[in-house]
Formats: sequence, structure tokens, C-alpha cells
Amino acid sequence: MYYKKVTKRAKVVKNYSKISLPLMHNLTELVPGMVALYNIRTGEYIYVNQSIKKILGYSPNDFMEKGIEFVASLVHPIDLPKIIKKNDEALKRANSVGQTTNDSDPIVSFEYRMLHKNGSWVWLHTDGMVYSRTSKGKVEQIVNVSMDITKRKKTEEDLLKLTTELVALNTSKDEFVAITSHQLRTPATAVKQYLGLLLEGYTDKVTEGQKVFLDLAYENNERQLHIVDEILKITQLDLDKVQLRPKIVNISKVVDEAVDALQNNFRSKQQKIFIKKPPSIVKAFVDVEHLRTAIENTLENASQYSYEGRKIAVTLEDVESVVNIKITDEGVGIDSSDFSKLFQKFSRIPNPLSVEAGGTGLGLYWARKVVQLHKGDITVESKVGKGSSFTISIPKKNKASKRA
Amino acid sequence: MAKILIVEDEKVLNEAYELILKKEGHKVCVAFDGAKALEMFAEQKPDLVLLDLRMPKMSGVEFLQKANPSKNFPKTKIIIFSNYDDQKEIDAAFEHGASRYILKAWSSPKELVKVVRETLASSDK
Repeated sequence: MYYKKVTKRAKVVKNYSKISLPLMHNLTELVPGMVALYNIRTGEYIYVNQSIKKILGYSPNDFMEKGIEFVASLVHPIDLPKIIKKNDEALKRANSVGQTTNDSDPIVSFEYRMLHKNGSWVWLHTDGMVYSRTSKGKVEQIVNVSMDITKRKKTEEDLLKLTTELVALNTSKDEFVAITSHQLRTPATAVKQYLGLLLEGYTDKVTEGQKVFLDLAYENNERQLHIVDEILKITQLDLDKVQLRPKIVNISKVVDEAVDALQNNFRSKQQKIFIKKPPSIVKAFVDVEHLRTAIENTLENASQYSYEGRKIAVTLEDVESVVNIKITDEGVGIDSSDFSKLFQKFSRIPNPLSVEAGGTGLGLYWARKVVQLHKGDITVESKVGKGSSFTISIPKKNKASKRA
Repeated sequence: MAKILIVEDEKVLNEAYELILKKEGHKVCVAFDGAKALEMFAEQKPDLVLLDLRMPKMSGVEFLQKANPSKNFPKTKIIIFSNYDDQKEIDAAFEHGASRYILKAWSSPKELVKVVRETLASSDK
């Protein structure tokens, strides 16, 4: 609104004295940014508001007396060429377009540094608007409105620095976990060998009592090794070292294989599995091993968190460009406030089945990451006390990243 | 009864494998690093090599590249010890003459004996 009125009165502004100067100064003083009106042909600054004092330490007269060359000399040497180029291009456009009703819209914007009178650098955001044109319609005067964005720029810099540091820290943490896990694995393997030697009669025969303890030790050693394996698999994912080997696969087969692999889990809890598939073959470009494990992990979850004798439904859906594998259980269910925790590492959500820590709490985390590598995702719907439904969605034709 | 070379840098594991295979009646020689392994390989000309992939100074794959068993000792069978994260290494090892791999952490003495027996019995690589 303000700019339109000013444009109309462009000719009037030339006769400065006709407008109450004190009024204008008062008004422009209220503008938090610098307002500068200059003539692009003469390079003359016709008007600069008082805010320049606050922002750059100079007085309006400093600019008005010395003109655009002086102003340009204050711009950071790296930023100046970019500004000149942008300005020239904008002017060319504005000149070829001619007078439009949109002359109040900025024709150019840029962010750059200018040297404060006290020697420090100030970041500015400037919008340039056409203020007046010659009788032939060429741009004559431009208004630049500039805001001090130094604080914001510093915050952006700090944030970038912090983010970079955090990413580096996270990577070194993952590397540390990987190294330590490897180191743990060696003595754990040795324990396995020597327990095995004892149990398999490589030394004196063991007594019944001794066998019981040795079996327990062997079992728990296997658990140790299993946990180390899981951790290492996950650090591989986190360190972006997973290599997918995708090919076009019949997904129905993968689902069957996954269900088969968990037969013991289901049988031991007398849980019934129902598989539903579409009539035609469903194919997708996936890494079979990894996808099958993702489905297995999700199925294992469904079994663990369901009571005995309950049913688990596995539905394969062909939805145009996407394949959905839905695993629905009648288990303890999950509160929606816990959804975000579900896919985190080692998360344990308290539930009435108080599942003992047999697993590692890494299954769903791994499953989701792998599915995401296929450019898909795992989503969950659930109601506490009723059950949960996990859906693995994978685009059929995906550029499954060979590396994350 | 075969001559087996065990290449494993972890002493405690090396000794366990030696014990297991000696009990089976095999003639066993050991090396704790790739350089020594190359020496023993050329010297002893074993029927079978149990090769750990991850070793300092010279990895299992490097050893295979230098020893070149497919060319120099085509009759020798190579079994590599690996872990899950060694997929690239496993592929490379097979390219350089390995015929089988076992997951180190998951082989009990019984399983090790079985794999060795099967590999020795198999006529092809």
C-alpha cells in the first residue's frame, strides 16, 4: 500500500521540501531497517533514513554525499560480484518488462555483508524495488530496504557447526560400538570352543551335575554371541555399510519363507497363522535376505507380544506401485504415545506380558532401517488390549540403495 | 588324516582349533599372521588351510592373493573363517581360491570337525 502511493507521487518526491521532512524522518525512523533511495543512472543516494546509524554506524549524509561507489566499497569482496550480477540481471528484466502494476514487488533480493563503521561485518538482507521510471519507461530510481540479519546468520553458522560436530560424534560412537563388539566376540568365541570341548568329551567325561551347569553356560554364551551379532549388524546399518543385492522377486515366496522360519515360535505358543494373498503374483525389486529378515523380525514381535493360542494374520497386498505386507496380531497392543519408541534401539515398552529380555530390542529398528533402504517404510496401528498391525510398504520399482 | 594349516591371529582360538583337529588325527601346523602363513604354506604344502580373514598386517585375502593357491597349489582346499560384516572379503576370498566359509563365532568343535571332513572329502573346489 505504502509503496504504491509513493510510486504515484514519484514526481512529487523530487521536490523534497514540499513534504514535511520532519514527518518523513519520524516515519522512516520507525522502520527497523535501512531505507535508501538511489538513482541508478547517476549513482546518487537521494534519501537514506536514520536507521543507517544503528545498522552501519554511518549517518545518512555519509551515503548521500559519497554515493554508490562508496557504498559498494563497504560490501564484502566475496559478496559484491554476486550482488552486481543479480542487480544487473534484475534491472535488465525490469527494463524489458516495462512499467507494471507490480512495481511495488521487489525486483531483487540478496543477502550480503557490509562493513560497519567500527570495522565489524554486518549481514544484511536487502529487497530492491523500482521506485520511478523515465518517461521512456526505463528504471530510474530504486528503493532498497535492508534488514540487519547478523544475529540470524550467526545462529545459522552455529547450528551448522553443531550439526556437523554431532554427526561426527555419532559416527565415532557407532565405530566405537563396532570395534568393541568385535573385541567382545573373540573371547566369547573362545569360551564357546572350550565349553564345546568340555561338553563333547575332549577331556575327562563330565558328570551329570557338571553337564547341567555347562549346558547353561553354553546357552548363555550363545546368547552373548547372538547379541554381539545383532549389534554388529546394526552398526553396519548405522555406518552406512550395508550392501543390498536387490533383484526382482516373488514377494509371496519371501513371506512364506519368513513365516516358515518362525514356525517354532508360533508352535511353542500355539499361535495360528493366517496368510492372505492376492490372486496374481506380486513381484518387487528387493534384497531377499534383508527383506525376509525384516518380515521375520516383525513376525517375531507379533508372536512375542501375543498371548498363547491367539491368531496372527499376514496379508500381502498389491497396491499398484507398492507392495504391502501387513502383520496383524491380537496381542497386548501399543499406546500411540509409544509409537515413536517402538522403532528405536533397545527400547522396551512395559506391557502385561512382561516379555523377558530374550531378544535384543533391535529387531524392529533393524527391520525399519532395511525397509527404508528399499525406499519403503514400516507403519503401525494399534490399540492397547486389542492388538497391533504393522505394515511393511515397499515400492515395487525402487532404486533400492546399494549403500545407505 | 590330512595336513592342515591353521591361520588365526587370536592365540586362544588358534590353540582350540589345533586341539580339536589334532584329536581328529590330523597333522596340524599353525601360523599367527599372514607372513608366517605364507612361509608355512610353501614349506608344508598342506591339504587344507583354515584361514581367518581378519588379521593385522596381512589380511586373509591378502594372503590368498600372495599365495595364489589356485595356481600354485590347486589341490589344497581353503576354508575361510568369517563374520557377518565380511561380505566383500568373503567374495574376494572366493575369487582367490577359497572353497568354503564358516562363521567363526558359530562353529562348535563338532561343527568344525564336520566341515573339515566334508571339505577334505569333496573332490571339487
